[in-house]
Amino acid sequence: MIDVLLVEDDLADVLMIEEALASLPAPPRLHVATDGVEATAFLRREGMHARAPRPAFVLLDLNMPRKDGFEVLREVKGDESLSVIPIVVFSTSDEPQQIRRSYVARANAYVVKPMDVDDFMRVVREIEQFYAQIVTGPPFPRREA
Amino acid sequence: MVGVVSTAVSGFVHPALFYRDEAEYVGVAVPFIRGGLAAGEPVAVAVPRPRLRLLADALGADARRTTMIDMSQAGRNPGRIIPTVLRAFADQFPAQRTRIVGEPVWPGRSPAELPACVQHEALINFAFAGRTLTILCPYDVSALDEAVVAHARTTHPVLVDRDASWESPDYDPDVGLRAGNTALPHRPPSTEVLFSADTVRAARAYAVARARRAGLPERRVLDVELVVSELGSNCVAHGGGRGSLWVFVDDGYLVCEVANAGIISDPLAGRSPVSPDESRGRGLLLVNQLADLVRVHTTAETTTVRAYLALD
Repeated sequence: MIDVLLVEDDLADVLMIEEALASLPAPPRLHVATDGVEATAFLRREGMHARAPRPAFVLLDLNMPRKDGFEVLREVKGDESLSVIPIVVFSTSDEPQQIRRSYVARANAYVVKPMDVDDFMRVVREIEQFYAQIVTGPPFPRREA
Repeated sequence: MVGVVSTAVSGFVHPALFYRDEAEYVGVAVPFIRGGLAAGEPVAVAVPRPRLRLLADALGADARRTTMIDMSQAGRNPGRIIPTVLRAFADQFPAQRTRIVGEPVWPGRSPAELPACVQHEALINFAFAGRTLTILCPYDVSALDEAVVAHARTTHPVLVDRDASWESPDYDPDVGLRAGNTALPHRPPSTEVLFSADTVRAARAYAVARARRAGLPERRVLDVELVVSELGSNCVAHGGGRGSLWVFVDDGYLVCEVANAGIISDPLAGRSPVSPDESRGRGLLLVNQLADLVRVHTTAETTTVRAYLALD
């Protein structure tokens, strides 16, 4: 079973993504951070997250309170021990400036959230399938896994 | 001595009554109740409804002089029996010796409930130390699992049957405390929601949404909101500022589980009544009132609390 970190503050989107992933034959273990501060604390294994697993990928919204998606990208990709974790930006925005800024910050992929619910669910499942079945993820040292 | 149950003039007495049938139940409990009434002591009977009816019939007119409480409702969650049933009655009579028949364990209690029952029985010894009352706890030894009866021997300093009363050689309430603090049953695959002071509201909103999706009756969705709010606030205040929430369905219950990096050092946390002018100590107490079962597992590093709310 793989672990997925979802960084998303919109409850409706959290529930839809949870439902999409739960419908997979082998659902991943989902961890939800509702802002960037929680996300980086989880990835850095701070405090009670000391034994947190390494996610196979991070699904990252951009617009969040306290610490937005760009800040998360900068911090994670700037941290040698975390930078190899794939980050998929998953945003409602299709503005070229946002997309370019995400790639400059070393996002591994940028996916625009589909408006249609069925398309939304399908895309979430396909992202998971890509990282769970097609991609060979970065190896972590045993202690880091 | 009235019947076989010793009722010391001062101090706390906590006997377990091992009965095999209704005749033995009535044969010990009724003299105990009537002895209290004859001595002018306030008496309460908190037992499951069928046993309540049995004792009421046997007591006749004396039943009206006794406070009768349906334990299957008031004590469904063992974690609320001490504050809501036992102390709620005994604290009304601080200057008088009182008697209570309290039956927290009955056939049909689920495997998830039983460790909480054992823990409750062990905690009674600490909660009422130094008080002047007797709490007689009946155990149906013909129907209960032997392991449950064995625990009763560790949580009660005195044992009683239809013929005699004797000191329990196995009495050690710490055994019961440990039995109640065992690792919680395996959690089904479910989403972990990370939260801190700034995001506890989002965690609460998630729990409410999951409760509705799971089919929890709308009148109880507010209970979920309060439970997660209180547990979340405890994490923020006493658990290192962060916590994790899982919400899942298990065996007819919606379960809200919250874990944090704090430890609960007071085994009576959430079981002591709080006066209206006290600002602290309400969180776990309120959770115990709202939930149908609360299980707590605390280690040297973390505390995990599971609140169960029946889906029916």
